[in-house]
Amino acid sequence: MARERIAKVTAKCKCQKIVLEVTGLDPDFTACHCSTCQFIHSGPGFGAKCNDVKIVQGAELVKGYKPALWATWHFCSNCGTRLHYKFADDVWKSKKDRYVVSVGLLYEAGIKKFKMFNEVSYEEKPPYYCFAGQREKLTTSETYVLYALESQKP
Amino acid sequence: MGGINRRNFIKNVAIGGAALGLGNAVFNKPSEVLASGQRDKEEIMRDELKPEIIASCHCKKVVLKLIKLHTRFTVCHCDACQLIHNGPWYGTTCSDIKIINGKEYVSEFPVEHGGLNKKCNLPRGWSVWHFCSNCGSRLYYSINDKILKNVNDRYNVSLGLIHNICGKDLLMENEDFFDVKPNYYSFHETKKFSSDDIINNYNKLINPSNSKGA
Repeated sequence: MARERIAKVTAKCKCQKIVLEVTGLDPDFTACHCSTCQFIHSGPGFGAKCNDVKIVQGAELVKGYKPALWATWHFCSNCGTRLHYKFADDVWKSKKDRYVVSVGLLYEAGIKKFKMFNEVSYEEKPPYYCFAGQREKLTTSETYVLYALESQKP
Repeated sequence: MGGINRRNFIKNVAIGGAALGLGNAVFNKPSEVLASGQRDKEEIMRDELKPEIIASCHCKKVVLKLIKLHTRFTVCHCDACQLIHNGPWYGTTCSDIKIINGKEYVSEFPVEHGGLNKKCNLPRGWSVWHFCSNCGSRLYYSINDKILKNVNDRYNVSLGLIHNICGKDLLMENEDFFDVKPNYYSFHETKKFSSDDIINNYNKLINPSNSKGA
């Protein structure tokens, strides 16, 4: 069911000062409708799981913001490009999927085979947009359960 | 749902899910609140103007006063928006914005062609993109009035700032740069505009005499 992972992608932010190297990328991504995502993306967040993110260049410009105990969001402090978020080490015990990267950033880096796999925090979705097509939709509570399980994967 | 209840709920479901061998059995039944489908357009036919809205970013350091905000909005699918915002830009126009608090946290970045392309003769900085330097919240785009004159609504505000204030009154009307939209998402029916439509429009705005009445 799960498609093959993409081994390695190199992506640059809008001002090209930050270069990221993303490994073990899952092309089946999650759309998140939560209120925090609305604030920081203007609409829902499109995030693709991956095993590791290395900042190859511009680490001094990567700004972190931690609105919740379980993750830190990162963006370019020069141009404002959304980069990735990282689950906190004490929450995410698994070696896999500790990072979630901006889908648009990777799309512009040449990865075109993305597919929206599921939609989470669906009960928080504002009424003014709705994605066409059928896929799994989870409430925030259900999402936490899913993450709690995935964070313990060997 | 309080913190303790929620934690218990997750714990219980997690244990139950694990016992059932997981799979979709536990997870593909979202509760009834999820049943809502497409927005009923009959509810909100008119483009209502909100005279004044006070909105803040996620960390609340930046507080903005939005003046004469349109409730019908446009989604932008262009390459620059995908790259910067991680997906399309959800924004609506307003005639003025006053920064009430946290001016020192408002970062600016000039847009070169705004995801337009070389066919567009707008110079760099025709529009300036603003975000909160502390939390990274999307704030707004502003059009440079020295480059584009005679534009009534110079500001385009992120819907993320107002989704919990007046989200029920908003209606998606247009989609811009529809020809370059990635194929992994799509919305319901709206008016669609191609890159050429938008570029022609901007070229007309910047130099009306060259538009040959087209």
